[in-house]
Amino acid sequence: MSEYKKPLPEPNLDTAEYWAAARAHILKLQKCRGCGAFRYYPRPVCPVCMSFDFDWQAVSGRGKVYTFTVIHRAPHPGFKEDLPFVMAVVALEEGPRMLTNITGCAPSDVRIDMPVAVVFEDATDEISLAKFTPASR
Amino acid sequence: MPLGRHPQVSIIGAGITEIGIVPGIRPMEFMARAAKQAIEDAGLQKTDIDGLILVPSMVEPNLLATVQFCDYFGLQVSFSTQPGVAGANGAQAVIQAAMAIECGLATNVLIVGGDNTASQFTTGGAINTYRAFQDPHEVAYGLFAVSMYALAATRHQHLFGTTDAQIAEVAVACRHHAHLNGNAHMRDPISVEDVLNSRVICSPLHVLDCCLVSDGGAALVVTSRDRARDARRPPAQLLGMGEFDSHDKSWLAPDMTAGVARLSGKRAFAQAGVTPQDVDVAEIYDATTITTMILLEDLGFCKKGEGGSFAERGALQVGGRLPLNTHGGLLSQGQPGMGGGLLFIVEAVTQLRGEGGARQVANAKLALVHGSGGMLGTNCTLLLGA
Repeated sequence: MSEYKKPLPEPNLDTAEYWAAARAHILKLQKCRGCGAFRYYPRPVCPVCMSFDFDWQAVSGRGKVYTFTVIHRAPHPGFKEDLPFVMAVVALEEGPRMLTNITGCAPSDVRIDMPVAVVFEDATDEISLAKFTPASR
Repeated sequence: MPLGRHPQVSIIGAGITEIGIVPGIRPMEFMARAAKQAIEDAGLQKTDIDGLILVPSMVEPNLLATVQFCDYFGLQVSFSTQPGVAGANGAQAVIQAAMAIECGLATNVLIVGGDNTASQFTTGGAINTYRAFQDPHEVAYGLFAVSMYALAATRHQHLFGTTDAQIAEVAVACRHHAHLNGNAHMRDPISVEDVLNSRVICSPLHVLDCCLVSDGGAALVVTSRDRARDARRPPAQLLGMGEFDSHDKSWLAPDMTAGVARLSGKRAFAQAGVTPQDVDVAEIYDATTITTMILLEDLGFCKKGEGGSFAERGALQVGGRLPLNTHGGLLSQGQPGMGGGLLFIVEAVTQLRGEGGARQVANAKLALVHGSGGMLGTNCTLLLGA
């Protein structure tokens, strides 16, 4: 694929499973074995009950836009050709919020509470990024 | 409320360098210049300083920045610390000074910060040091400092109907005050229209909604209220203080438009035994215009969601209902790195002494200072009295 110009995340010990699932176009989050809460971003401890026991579980990929902004100034030269683009916070059905981009519609069409569903963008052979697109519900 | 009595401390000295584009001066020189001013303003000898709180430089950080400054400036102290709450550093430093003095660890605490962020960094470089924007769950999506506040602004507009013009009033007030202030990075007056016509960075925030990147330094000397009775200049008494911290990542804020400054403010007001209506002048951290508007609501100056109408018709300007950021704020006096929060306290002291000149608030007896770091994630509130 053509060279990816934007900054890339670096998987680490805590997040390797997240990025492996993303590469397979699956959104997987940690579900706490102590209290059942889903969490994001991935980390070993549950921020609700302090349990260090968890399972990785695929989530529905559905959520709603909690808030967003249309970015007009590139935070890094690699974003110049994307301007203007939408950065958003999506509240997943399962509870956690994610920072992400909204794709598949004009920036002016994005609304708070808009239902969205996850889509994966293949940045490199190793990294696929979870982004969200308008959904019917 | 667990807080029994006021802290028994006062600010007896303040120092500030030129703030703006000031090339040729490295961070510790800004700190040393401001420190010398504050110590002399306090009527003390340098050897009287036995506590040091240093707001770290972003350009030249150091794990041992406090003792690095002791080497540089010639100090030995029985208490030192570097606050780590970003925009709340300045206000937290006063809280920490109060704790050190009340516990008998130090008697005269020097608080100092300074940086050459404008001369040393490009705007992009400075923005990237304000946060470690290398987080794997943020970096790929285009997050940068201003965009965090823009997320909050969009939601505030959605929930409350706040308009771009109302938000811009914060910038207009700050610039008006910077114009009246001889020492400010940007001084040409601006109108709401000017703000709205400035380039959109990320909706709904424009260039003029965002704080500057500046060079400069500031310092304070804090001592016990007893010792302050003999101070050379009128002391500013610390009447109440509070802190509350909730998050780092903006998208993990429990509520992006109503934050825990409500709780830091509540503690400070309760300790001081005053209400927002008693405040004569407010110096509230303005990373962006919306930051300050949300804080005005959280601190209780108006109801949640009514910040927009509260800000209209010159209410935030000297002579208005609640003079805000009478030095010009980070938006117009400038932000010399992490020490920017100290400028708000220097200004509060100046106002309480009646030395604000053209920007003096008539009869200023009670000042509120609020510092906030991250996207409203760290919060320190101070109430200072003449």
